[in-house]
Amino acid sequence: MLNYIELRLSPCPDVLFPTQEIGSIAKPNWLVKKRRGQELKASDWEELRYWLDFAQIKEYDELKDLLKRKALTLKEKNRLVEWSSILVLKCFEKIGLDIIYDGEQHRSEMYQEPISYIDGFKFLGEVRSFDNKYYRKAACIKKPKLLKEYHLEEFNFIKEQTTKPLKVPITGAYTLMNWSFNEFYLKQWQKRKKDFAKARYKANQALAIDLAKTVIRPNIQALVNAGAKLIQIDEPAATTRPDEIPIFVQSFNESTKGFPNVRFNLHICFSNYALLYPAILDLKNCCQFTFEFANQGANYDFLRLMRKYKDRREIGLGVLDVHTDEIESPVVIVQRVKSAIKIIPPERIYVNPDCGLRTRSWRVAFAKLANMVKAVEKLRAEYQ
Amino acid sequence: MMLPVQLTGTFARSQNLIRATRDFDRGRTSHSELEKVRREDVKRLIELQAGFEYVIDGNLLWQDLFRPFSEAEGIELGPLIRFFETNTFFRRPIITGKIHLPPEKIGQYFYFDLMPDNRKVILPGPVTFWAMSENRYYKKDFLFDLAHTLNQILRYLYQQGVKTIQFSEPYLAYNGKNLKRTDWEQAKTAYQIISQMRNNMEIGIATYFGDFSEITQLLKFPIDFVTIDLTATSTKKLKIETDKKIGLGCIDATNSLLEVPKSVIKFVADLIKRFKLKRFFICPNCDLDFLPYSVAEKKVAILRKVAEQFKQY
Repeated sequence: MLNYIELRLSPCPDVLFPTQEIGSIAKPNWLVKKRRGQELKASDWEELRYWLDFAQIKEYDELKDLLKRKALTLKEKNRLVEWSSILVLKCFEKIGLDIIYDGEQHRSEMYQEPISYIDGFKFLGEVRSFDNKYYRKAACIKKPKLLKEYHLEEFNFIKEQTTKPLKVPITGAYTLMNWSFNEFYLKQWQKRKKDFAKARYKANQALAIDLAKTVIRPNIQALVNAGAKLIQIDEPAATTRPDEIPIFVQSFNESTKGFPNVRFNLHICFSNYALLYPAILDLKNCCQFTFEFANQGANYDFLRLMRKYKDRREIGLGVLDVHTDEIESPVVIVQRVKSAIKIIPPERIYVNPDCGLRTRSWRVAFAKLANMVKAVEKLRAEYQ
Repeated sequence: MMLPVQLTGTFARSQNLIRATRDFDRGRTSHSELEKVRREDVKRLIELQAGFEYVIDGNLLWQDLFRPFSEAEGIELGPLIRFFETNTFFRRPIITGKIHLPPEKIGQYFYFDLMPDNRKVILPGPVTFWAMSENRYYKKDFLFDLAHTLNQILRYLYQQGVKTIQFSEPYLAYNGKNLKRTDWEQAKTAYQIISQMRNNMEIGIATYFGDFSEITQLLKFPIDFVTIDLTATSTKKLKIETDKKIGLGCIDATNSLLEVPKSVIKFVADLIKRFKLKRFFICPNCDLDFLPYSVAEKKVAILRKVAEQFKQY
């Protein structure tokens, strides 16, 4: 039976229900405006002071000085990003989260940025996501090659700012493939397979595996060399094409093999998780599924599937809906966790928001997270 | 003479139009300025289709396949849902009361004043609409009520000089093989209701995102044409015995890889010969909206090349 939990030591071995962040937190106004060269309003200063107080950061003359300058160099703008990163980390620490990162303050988003560090992709233009919202979509036009380990500098900075366990999020190979046009491999496979659907499947498989080998693994290797022990593979596209779920599994395994001292968890949001079984039984190095449940009405059918398939991995239980400003009370969160405990034992449950809270204001995001920690304190008193 | 060509879905928006919609949403431009840009896009698209069998306006006012309908009485806008296996999302229509949509309302979503006489209109197919909605009102007859609504819209569109109407039914292709016999019978009845108001218009169904070889019963529906997504269809298994017009979806609108016209010509010629097709047209497999504008334009140019060079082959 599956034994990866025993193989991978927990980052918080002495506590039940470790709390963790998932991904991104909104960029603060003072950062956004200053990077655009705009002046700050009194309300922006007020907001900054509020969070500096909250995070108990007393020394910030350098930040004040940077924000007061008329024009900033690129280096100074990057320093502002570092200040934002520090502030998020300290807010997480203050709230009492067990496992943290910096709310992805160094990153712009999760597709365009990684792709821009890969040779072999070309941005073709904007494609509609919904309504009047678009994203820049790239095509793979030759075999991918990593130009630079794109999360390394960020990790090296963050690890110096905190002693808390850090969980590094990284966009997975399947999602990078699925969100791109696949020209290079399709051209090759169309010559070999007459059936278009079969050619497309083979082409997508080849691209996902090559991305895993030549882009994701070297990134992970660099992070591991720098000391990373917890890595979250983000795969929001994993269930987009049900017939390709085995490709997602293969690419995950290829990305994560050969790192015995690293705990990998898989984060998928906005998806039909039922489609993942039985294929995900073949995920070899995944300790935890960090999934969205609050937005799905705390529907735990997926946990029942885990039980049905005797899948003993941990669950990162999404207890905060990231799509609403409503601050879930500790009572509600406790109920959500207790409902999960009826299906899965407490020692296999981590507690987290459904997804990154970047669409919420800091006031809402941190209030939600604070209530999550309060709820976990109550649960620990009851179950520890 | 070139081979008949049609476009079969929402067209990509130009960079100018994307910018204008963004500016409008952020209050940086007026509605009339936005409309000016959109009309330019429609005109450009109509020019691109010069010589095509029928001409669409690209549904450039439609936010998704269901949107004008989602604004009808009895329907509310629901959450964002993934549109089949794409990375595009639509607002799920939530049915909260008896559907009432004045046909003139739909008219506001098309640029008839810019379209030539051989005008084609694309509407959501009733089965896909039924399947992708959340029905909180109807105990039964939801599909038939939808069909009656479409029936009235057809009468209006005929008065606007529309010559052909395509109902987009990706759900039938994607999930048709799992539908029960009774579902298929109901779907056929819905199209019987719709087709009563066809007058002299051609009406047809566009199937995409699935294997047509598994849903060939569609050829028995009371319609004039069916389009087939040849990128998702097993041509080996495919059997077509019909006198209906067949739309051969031979250009992939989900990938930027540009087709080689010569290869497409051979592929299409083989199918025409194998199925002894007398009435057909060539088209993209689905909406070109899944591509960036510049690539969508190139795909239309390839369709044209295939159509023009076909005879020589």
